[in-house]
Amino acid sequence: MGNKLTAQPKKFPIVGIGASAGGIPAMEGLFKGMPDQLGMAFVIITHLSPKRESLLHEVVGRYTTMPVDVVEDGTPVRPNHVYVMPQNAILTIKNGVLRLHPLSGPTPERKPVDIFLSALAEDQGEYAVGVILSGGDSDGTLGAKAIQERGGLTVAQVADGYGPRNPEMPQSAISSGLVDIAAPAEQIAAKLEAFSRSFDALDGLTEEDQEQTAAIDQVREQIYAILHSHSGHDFSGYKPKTFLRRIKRRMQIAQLHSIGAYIEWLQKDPFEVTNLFRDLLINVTNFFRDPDAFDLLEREVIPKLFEGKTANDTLRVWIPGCATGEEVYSIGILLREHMEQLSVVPRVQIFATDIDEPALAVARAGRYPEPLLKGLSPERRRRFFNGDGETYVISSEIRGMCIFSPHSVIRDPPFSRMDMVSCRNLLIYFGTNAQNRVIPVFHYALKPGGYLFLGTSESIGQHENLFATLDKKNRLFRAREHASPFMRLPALVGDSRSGALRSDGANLKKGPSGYALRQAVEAQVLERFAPPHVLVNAHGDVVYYSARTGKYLEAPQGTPSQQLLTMARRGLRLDLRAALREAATTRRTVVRDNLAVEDDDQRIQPTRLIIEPFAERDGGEPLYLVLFEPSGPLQFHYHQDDSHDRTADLEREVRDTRERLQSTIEEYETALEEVRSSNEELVSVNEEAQSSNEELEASKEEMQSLNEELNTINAELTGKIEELDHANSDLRNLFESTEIATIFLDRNLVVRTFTPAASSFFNLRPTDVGRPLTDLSSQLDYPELKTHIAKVFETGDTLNHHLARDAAGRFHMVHINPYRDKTNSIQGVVVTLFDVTVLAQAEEHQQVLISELNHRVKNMLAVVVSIAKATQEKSGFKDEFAQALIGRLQAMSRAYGLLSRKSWKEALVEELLHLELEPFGSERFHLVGEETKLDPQQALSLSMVMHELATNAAKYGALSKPGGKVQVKWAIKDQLLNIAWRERGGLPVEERPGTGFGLNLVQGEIEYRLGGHVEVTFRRQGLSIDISFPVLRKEEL
Amino acid sequence: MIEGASVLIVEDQWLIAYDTAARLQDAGYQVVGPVPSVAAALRLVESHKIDAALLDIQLNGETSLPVATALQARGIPFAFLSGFGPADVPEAFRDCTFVPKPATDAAILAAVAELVSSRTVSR
Repeated sequence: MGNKLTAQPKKFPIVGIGASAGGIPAMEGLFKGMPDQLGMAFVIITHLSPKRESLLHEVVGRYTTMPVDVVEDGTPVRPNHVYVMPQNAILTIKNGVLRLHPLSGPTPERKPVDIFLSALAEDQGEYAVGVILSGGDSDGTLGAKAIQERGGLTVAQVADGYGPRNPEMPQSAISSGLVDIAAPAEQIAAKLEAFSRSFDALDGLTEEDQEQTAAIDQVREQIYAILHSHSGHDFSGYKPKTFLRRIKRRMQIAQLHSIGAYIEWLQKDPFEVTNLFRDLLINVTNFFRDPDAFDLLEREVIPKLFEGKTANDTLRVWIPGCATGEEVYSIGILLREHMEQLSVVPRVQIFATDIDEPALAVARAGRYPEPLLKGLSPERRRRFFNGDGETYVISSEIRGMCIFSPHSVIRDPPFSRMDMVSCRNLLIYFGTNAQNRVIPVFHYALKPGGYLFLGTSESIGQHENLFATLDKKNRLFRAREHASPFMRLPALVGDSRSGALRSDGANLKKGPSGYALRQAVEAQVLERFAPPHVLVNAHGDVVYYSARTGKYLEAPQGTPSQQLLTMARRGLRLDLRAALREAATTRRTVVRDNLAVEDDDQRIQPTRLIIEPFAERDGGEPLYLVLFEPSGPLQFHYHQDDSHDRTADLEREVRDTRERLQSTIEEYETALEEVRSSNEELVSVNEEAQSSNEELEASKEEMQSLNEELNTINAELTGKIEELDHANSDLRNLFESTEIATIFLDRNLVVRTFTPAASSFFNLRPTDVGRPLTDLSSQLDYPELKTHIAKVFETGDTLNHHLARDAAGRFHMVHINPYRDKTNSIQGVVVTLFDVTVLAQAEEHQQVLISELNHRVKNMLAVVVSIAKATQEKSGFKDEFAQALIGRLQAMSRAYGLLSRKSWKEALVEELLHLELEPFGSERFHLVGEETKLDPQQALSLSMVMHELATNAAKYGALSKPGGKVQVKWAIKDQLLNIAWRERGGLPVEERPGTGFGLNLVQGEIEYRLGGHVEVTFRRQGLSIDISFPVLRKEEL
Repeated sequence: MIEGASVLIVEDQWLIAYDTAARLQDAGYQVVGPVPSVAAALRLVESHKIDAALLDIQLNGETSLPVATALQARGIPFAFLSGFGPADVPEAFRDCTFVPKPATDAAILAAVAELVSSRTVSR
């Protein structure tokens, strides 16, 4: 912390921004008003749903020109960048590098803002800035504390146009007093800017510059004075460096750049004094701070505390100034650890008190972010804390021993009958005067022999008479048993508040040296000529002795005492008491003349006693000056034993009476003393009762909020149950409606549930749920089922298996899927059976079709080759060959087209003829015949035949002459299809030489292929061809 | 090669049958058939001396396998001239010679020469 700011020029402020519900508009407000080159880095922490992908970086990117990055593990923080926390992770920072920690398991109470801000505070010290925006939680409060402890800046959002829509989060931080600046969202940017600028301006303040030291000392004195007059606390004992660092922080927050201006402001604004006071009181507390001291405590003190205690006894420990509870729980842990070794365990009560109520609330909650747990050993952390790695909660066995209560060790009556008082690092904040008051209070609070445990820079001061030192280094003391209390507790029941704290102020302003000389002269004169005197309080306790009081006072028997009345010599006491009381009640000077004071030599000194109220000092306890003035020469006792026996008798009687009076008075005093003690004790007990009450109140509030929470959770749970019912019912309906046989098995192959469709495979009945599948008889021929399931357990992969055709001719496919629970471990298997018969049949059919197609295509190609060859043989020229070949192929392809339209089942004669003859001119054909179906082969053959005939007619026959016509007639007779081809018109036809390939083909197709008959006749009118072939199926062939 | 060895052709497509027969005749074989059906083929097997045979498998709705069986019984070598392959026929005919359709003339002639010479050896 003491590093000089200029030594590390690269340092820049890192701003942790915590936001939750309603944070987006708040961030809009924050970033919109921000200049680009602020020289700071921004890290945004939000409460993200782990399930939803966050688009926050895009959203933020709209409001700022700075680059916005989603944090990855190991991202170094650079100025003028914005970093956004990704979902599903916890963010921390180390050496200026952001670290991501994956979430482990469900942690309902996650506090990401606390976690990041405390890590930021630890890493960046006074360069850490925490900004708490809108959110519905108390997240961020402890983080803000961590930042304040390290001297950083904390900012929280207050209401304006940009929300906060959910003010709980910033409100919690503000109400716990841990926020330096509370501002509307769009003004925060300006505050941050001023904050970052002030770093340079204030650098000189903590420098160890000789020139400045004097000036700064003076400044400090001024501020001490202001603080003192305002709060009664004296901070002059505070380390100057720390003190100045706090001042500097306040100046940054107030945005003042000269210390003079700050002092001016302090003088004007009492609120700022309070803030400074608070800042100065911030205490860096850790678990087991100063390990050596705690070791000693564990070894030497704690075993002794338990010595001689039975189960009915109570061990009582008081921890004043407990702050956020770390010291309390540290001691609680030590006590608990020792208790575990005991067979007889007394009750343990730890009273933890502080004036800072927000700090107490944190202590009561007992939840600490991980960086605050530094001093704890891993064993203790495991043993006494429940945590998720980022935040830890003290276990209830420790928390149950502790009672937290607001209490001022200075103003309020102390507790009593304590076995130990641990007051570490509280006295350093008190002035000497206050310390001198507090140490006796601790003595009072302790049982005789009780232990006092102070911080390493604290001491019991001048009170060695009250405490014996056990260990000087570690500030461990033990209350002396027979010390007579120097100080009575002031009557504390009433409203006699902090006035007692004020110091006399003489130390503050030292007079000039001439003044001191005069004082010295006066002192000497006084010493020489002044009568012996003492200064007492109203109770007669001496606070000051002058020289030469021995004539009037003597040390009494018994414990040493400051009580004037017990010290006064014979003859003085009665009058002294009466006079003192009179002076105390009237506040006037009281004079008693001619008192006979008997000295050790039995001489009588006539004495005048004067009691004057001491000049009033503001607010101080009233004191009285008691002066003893000799009023005549020494006289000797009469020892004449003459005839005046009666006189002697009377004198003796008077003496006896006086003696009796004296003893009565003493008895009275003793009684009075006892009454006072009882009263004090009652006051303490009352205080304790108040503390307990306070604690109960707090517990009650906690209970109420817990109850509230439970109610909410219950409502939520009810909702979830309803949802679950719905889901269950949906699932049941799905099971029932699905035709797919599904069985859920657990690790031991016990049936968990199954769909109705599955019952037929395994003879399942609803009562079979819970029985092992292996016990049930199966309809399936599937002996490998068990090994397959074992394999799925082993590999975790889905297994598919085709079952052989069953007795009913059905095919089934089995899916075995692993059943995974939330943690992704395999808890069973899901066996699913699909009926794939249709699929299998389709596959089979497809196989047949493919094979058929294959054959057909090959056959076709063979035919085409043959046609080509035959055509080639008969054609003289290329063109002729090509034309003839193409014509034949087209004829075939037309027939194929027709057949494929009819799914290769059949073709109509008429359609076929139309199709084949159309290219030759439909108008020249006359087609007559009844509806007749052909099978594919017949259709193919006929189409080729018709093409050959038409081609022939076009070349040589009726179609070669204009006006020539062809009539085609067909009819079925005796299961034979007869087709008559008649050419008419044109020239008289002569028999053509030979039969060409065309006619051969006609005969081949009809006679060879179809088993029919062809007759060719050359007539006068034209060619006449009669074709007949059987139309009943092949078996007839 | 035996001059004028007689080869049976069973093929339902007239164009192919005509073509194949012409090739074999050109090469000096004596062609028996061709015939388009099992019944016709079996009649020729009964009545003619046959040295070798080329069989199409798919014959207008029936298969030539009965013919193949009859030829095997008589020890007459034959080859399938077909779009089908060994995988499409029953076990008993897997080892027979297959000439895949559409076949070149050379392939047909080579197959027939092979058949005829094996016939000669077995004699």
